Amino acid sequence: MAEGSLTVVGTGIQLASHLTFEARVALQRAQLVLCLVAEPATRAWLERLNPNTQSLNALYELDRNRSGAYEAMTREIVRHVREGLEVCAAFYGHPAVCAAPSHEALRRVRSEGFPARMLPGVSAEDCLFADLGLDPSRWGWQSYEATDFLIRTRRVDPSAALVLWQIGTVGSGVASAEKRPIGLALLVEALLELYPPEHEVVVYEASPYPSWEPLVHPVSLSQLAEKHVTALSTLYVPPRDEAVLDHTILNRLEL
Amino acid sequence: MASESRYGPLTSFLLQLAEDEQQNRQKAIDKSDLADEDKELLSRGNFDEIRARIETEAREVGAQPWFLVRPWFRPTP
Repeated sequence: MAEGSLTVVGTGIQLASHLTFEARVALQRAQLVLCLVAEPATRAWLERLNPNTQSLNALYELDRNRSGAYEAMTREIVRHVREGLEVCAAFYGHPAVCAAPSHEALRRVRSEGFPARMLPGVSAEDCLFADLGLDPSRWGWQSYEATDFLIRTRRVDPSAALVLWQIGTVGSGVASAEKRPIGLALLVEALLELYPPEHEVVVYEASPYPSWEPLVHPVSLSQLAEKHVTALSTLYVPPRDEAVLDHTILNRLEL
Repeated sequence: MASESRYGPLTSFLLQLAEDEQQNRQKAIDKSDLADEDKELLSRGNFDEIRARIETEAREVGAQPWFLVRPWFRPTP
């Protein structure tokens, strides 16, 4: 009986250069690579690494709910593992971050007894730390998917940094080949309850191509508009003020 | 699923640039046999414009529209 296995990897953000050594080995050794990447050059490059590469991109249906596409991707990955293939599922960025089919496929194949693992990748947030020169431990770090942030009651700490993923599609649940930030005005409205209008935020996108500069667009919060946003933008909101020190704890720790 | 293995000259150039770990980007652009408009695009240095051109190249050889979003969405309750 054929064995079947699943390895989930991240290709990182930048074409070729962000792939870890262990992920590269997994891609080259797989009997089948199923990929979901953000632009065609990375897809072409994966085909060079392993000619048995197929894209999951075709499972998106334009203007249809994305959750249906993610279920179809999960099923496609699991189907090939059940057929006995050593499958490598490759997602751009980090395969555990904002990636439903990677987690769900792992859960399903493990529940059926197949060997399965996930290897880390370079995420957009990792690139943001480096490109904007930020240390998340300096102020503390809050990180949310933008639509999820909007639709739930969050308790934001304005003394810590805030990152909102996917502002290019905030408020949209359908598959789109271009930006669709239909909830951006609502997002700005929500943030203006926490931050002053002149608070400078940064619209950021890491470059997918080695040696090209990232998009870094500082703008005051009240001016943030669709024209500043790309389909893959992340929003960085710096802390509003310094966190208050607890002198009782400082004394008890003798710091 | 349909194969999307064909790709255009700009994509090929970027793949070669990445594989060669080319440090001098402009020198590589100047030495390439890309069309002048592609050289100009690459030299301008805006990756968003380059990506748009690469997507156009991919569609010209039969690829589907590219979906620019993380594969995650939590449906409203």
